[in-house]
This record gives sequence, structure tokens and C-alpha cells, in this order.
Amino acid sequence: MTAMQPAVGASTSSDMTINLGPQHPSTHGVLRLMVALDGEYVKSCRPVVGYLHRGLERMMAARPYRQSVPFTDRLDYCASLNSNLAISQAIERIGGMAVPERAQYLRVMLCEMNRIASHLIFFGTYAADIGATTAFLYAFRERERLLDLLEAYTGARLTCNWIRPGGVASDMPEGYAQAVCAFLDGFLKELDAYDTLLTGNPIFRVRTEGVGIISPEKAIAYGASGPVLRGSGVNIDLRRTEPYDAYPRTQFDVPLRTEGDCLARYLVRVEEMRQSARIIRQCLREMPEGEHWGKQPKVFRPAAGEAYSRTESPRGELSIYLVSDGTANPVRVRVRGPSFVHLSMLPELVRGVKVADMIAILGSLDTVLGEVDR
Amino acid sequence: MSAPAEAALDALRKALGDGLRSCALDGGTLRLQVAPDALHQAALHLRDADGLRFDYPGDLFAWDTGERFVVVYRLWSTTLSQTALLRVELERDGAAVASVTDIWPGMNWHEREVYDLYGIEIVGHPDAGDPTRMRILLPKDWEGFPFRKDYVPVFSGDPLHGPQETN
Repeated sequence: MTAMQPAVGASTSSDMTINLGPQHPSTHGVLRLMVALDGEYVKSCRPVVGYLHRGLERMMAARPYRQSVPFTDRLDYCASLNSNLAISQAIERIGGMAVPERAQYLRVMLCEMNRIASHLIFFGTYAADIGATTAFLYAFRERERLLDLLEAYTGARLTCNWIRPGGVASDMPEGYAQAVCAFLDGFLKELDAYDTLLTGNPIFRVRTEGVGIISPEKAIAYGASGPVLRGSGVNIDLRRTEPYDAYPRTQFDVPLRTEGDCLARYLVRVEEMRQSARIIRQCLREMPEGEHWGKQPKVFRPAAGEAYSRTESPRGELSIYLVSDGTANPVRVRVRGPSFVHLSMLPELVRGVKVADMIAILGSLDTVLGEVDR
Repeated sequence: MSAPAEAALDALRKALGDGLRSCALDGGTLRLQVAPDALHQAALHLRDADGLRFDYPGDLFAWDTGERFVVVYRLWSTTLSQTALLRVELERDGAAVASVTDIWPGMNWHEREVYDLYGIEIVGHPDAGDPTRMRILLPKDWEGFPFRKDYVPVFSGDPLHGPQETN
């Protein structure tokens, strides 16, 4: 930013309002940004969301608890298994269901595979946002291999619908562990190559370093979570602070950066992919034999009350709150997704920055509109 | 619960009087219910008092029991790692609740959503009083509040073009 930058809020004759989206490649979905500009500088920005609103919460509340799992695939469609886990946990808590130990490991393995796939989308599309198209192609090549693995197990590349209340839908197919390990071997080498391709690229660094700084206080006051929070130096990862499933029994590091800028959020995600690979290997190694699914009641009617789950999705805190009145259908299913919260920070983050930096900041938040609009 | 927390809750009881309807610790989660007009004061106390320090806006949402609306604020303390569920019950007619966006800026969009889906007025919200700016998930000219139990969908638009632009 230079001395040329006009005072925020001052109206000049060169003011101009433009719409970014709802069909714009940098918005990663149907998001519209109404931006007031003074030359190259953003004076104000108002995100307009809801283009993908399907009323999923209401649809989930209109049917028996266990039928809501496939709807969660359509929340964060880049990481459907993590959403499956959130709803399954909430249902297990409200109904007092136990999850067999093997299923806990299978869940963690699947969630971490999905985390890598999701972060690869971030890696590729973020590079593309900033103008580095090549990285996009590399990331999607690797992601495709991972999605093939997910398809081999769950039958679907994206909408997996595989983690269910009480466990997972079936055990791994034969030879699956070896296939996953083989993928990870190759993937970690590729990831190092991506790192040298993009992370050290001087143009990439100029575009991300010192851009869109979020202070730790601001991140907390806004309820930021996941890599956005940890990129600002706040060491909170729900897999650690409120551990669930097999996470208490796995060892991994929580990547942390203190800069709070776009580069910090990017670096946290890249490092998280390495940690996810570590967790997957541990799961495959330590997974006990046994059932993949606990005993299920035929009719599921939890007692009147409330329960919620808090899980660490690739984007941050995904929590689901259920309210029961003792009947077969819930009264309320509430989905609190990280993307919704992160997008609400955007107007404050982009005030006074250049238009191009706004795109870099939006990309670094890694929002998924399916989860914002629900 | 720690001694400063007990002291902070005693102070809250004194400050709110009858406004504090219930307050209990349930498995590490602090569950509170306050009168609607005591909400803002209670929220501020929960954020700032020693031993409570609920600095993280976890979630804010509502539901309709059929008789009244329940609004729940799920708060979390990043320093003390504890959760609070702050609850307000509102009569259906003229349901309104004070905004807490000034306490936790992250509640801004959640409050807009509560208005959008339930029609609960958020008094003091930056966009309050302008339904076209409060609507968030639904188009700005939407009629009614679809998450209410008594909502009847009415489609009166052009099926090819749908509702007008969103807010």
C-alpha cells in the first residue's frame, strides 16, 4: 500500500461499484461480491451468499435422524467424509451409541484422506487464483489418484456417504491398506516437488506475504477456526483440544504459523497434508481387528434433549447441534460450518486493499459455498 | 469449576437478579438461561469476567418449539477451554433479541441468519431495520420465515426466472 491510497470511507468522484460473481472463477462457486472501488483500491465489500441455499437443515429435520447423512455430503462437497463424521457423531451422542474401535480408526483414516484431497483443491485453485496455472494441474493429478482410492472403498469420488452413525458402512476391501500406503509414498514425494514449485516462487510470495493479515485477537473474536486460526498463531485444533474417535491415540503435529497472512494460511495447509499422511499410516498400522459397525437400534428415538459434535474439518470447526423432542425426527439440525464464519470476515479483511489482493485473501480463506449456503 | 468462575457466576446472579433464569454446570459445560432483556449484559459478563473468558463465538442459532422460539449462543473460551450454552426463550409474537455483534463480531452473520429463517428481530444489529440487508441465505424479497413451524410456502413468481436478485 502506498501514500496514494485514499482514506477509507471518503467518497470521491472516481468511486465505482462492481460485482464479482456470482459466476466468477476466483469465487470458487456461486458467490457474489459487491465491491465499491476507488481506482484499484477496495473501499468496501459486501459478500452476497445464498445462491446455493437448499434448506438442508430443514430437510434433515424432516426425516429420521439416520437419513440425514447423505445430505451432509452436499455441505462441504470437497470433504464429504468430514461432514459425514460430524453428523454421525452428533447422532451417536444424542442416542448414546458406541463406535467400535476399528471403525474409529477407519473414520480417522477416511477423514484424513479427505483432508488431503480438500487441501489439494486449495493448493491448486489458490495457485490458479494468483496466476500460477501449472500448480493447479499438478495438484489435481494427485487429487485424482486419491479420489480413485476413495471411490475404490466408498463407491463415490466426492459424495461418499460412508461414515454412518455407529461406524462406517463397510470394512476396507482387500489390499486397500497397501494401495493407500503406495499412494502416500508417491504423494509425499510429489508434495515436496509442489513445495519447490510454488512455495519458493518469488511471484507467489510477493502476492501472499504480508497480505490479508489477521491478528490472533481478531481471529478469535470472529470465531475463525482451522488453518485460518492456526495461521494467526492460535494453537487450537479440535483433534487435539477436544479429541474424538481415534485421534487421542494418534501422534501428529499441529502446524502453526504466527504471521497471520495469506502465506501463513497456505503453509499451514501444506504442512497439514504431511501430518495427515502421518495419521493415515498410523491408522493403517494400529487398526485393531473387529467390527466396523456397532449394534444399531431398529427404531431410533432418542430421548428429548440436545447434543452436539465439534469436529475439525479441513476448513475448521464443523459442528452440528441436534435437538430432540423424543420423536423419530429431530426438531432442529443446526450446521455451523467454518466457511460461513470465514466469509463473514472478508469485508473487514479487504477494506483498503487492492482488488488483486482481495482475490488472494478470499482464496486464502478456502471457503466452500455449499457449506456457506447449506 | 474454578474459584474465579464461581465468583464470576455469583456476580452475574447478583447483577441480573430474576433475569438469570437458570445456571448449571453439566459435564464441564456451563448452561445458562437468561431473560431476553438480560441477554446483552449476560453475554458481556461471560466474555469479560475472570474465570469465564468466553472469548470465542462458537455458534448462534434458533429453533421453533411450536410454542416459542429458543435461541442458543454456544460460546467457548480459548484460554480456559470451556464451553457455555447461553439460552434465551422468546414468545412468538414480536420476538426480538439484542444483538451481540458488538461483543463478538463473528456473530454478525449468524444473527442475520436467525432473522432470515425465523423472523426474530435482532435489536442493535448493524443491518437491523432493513430487511433487505438482514436477509442472508434467502432472496431479499422473500416473504415469510421458512424455518418457523407454521410457515406455508407460497410460490407466486415466474417459474422460469424465479425470485428477483438476492440481497
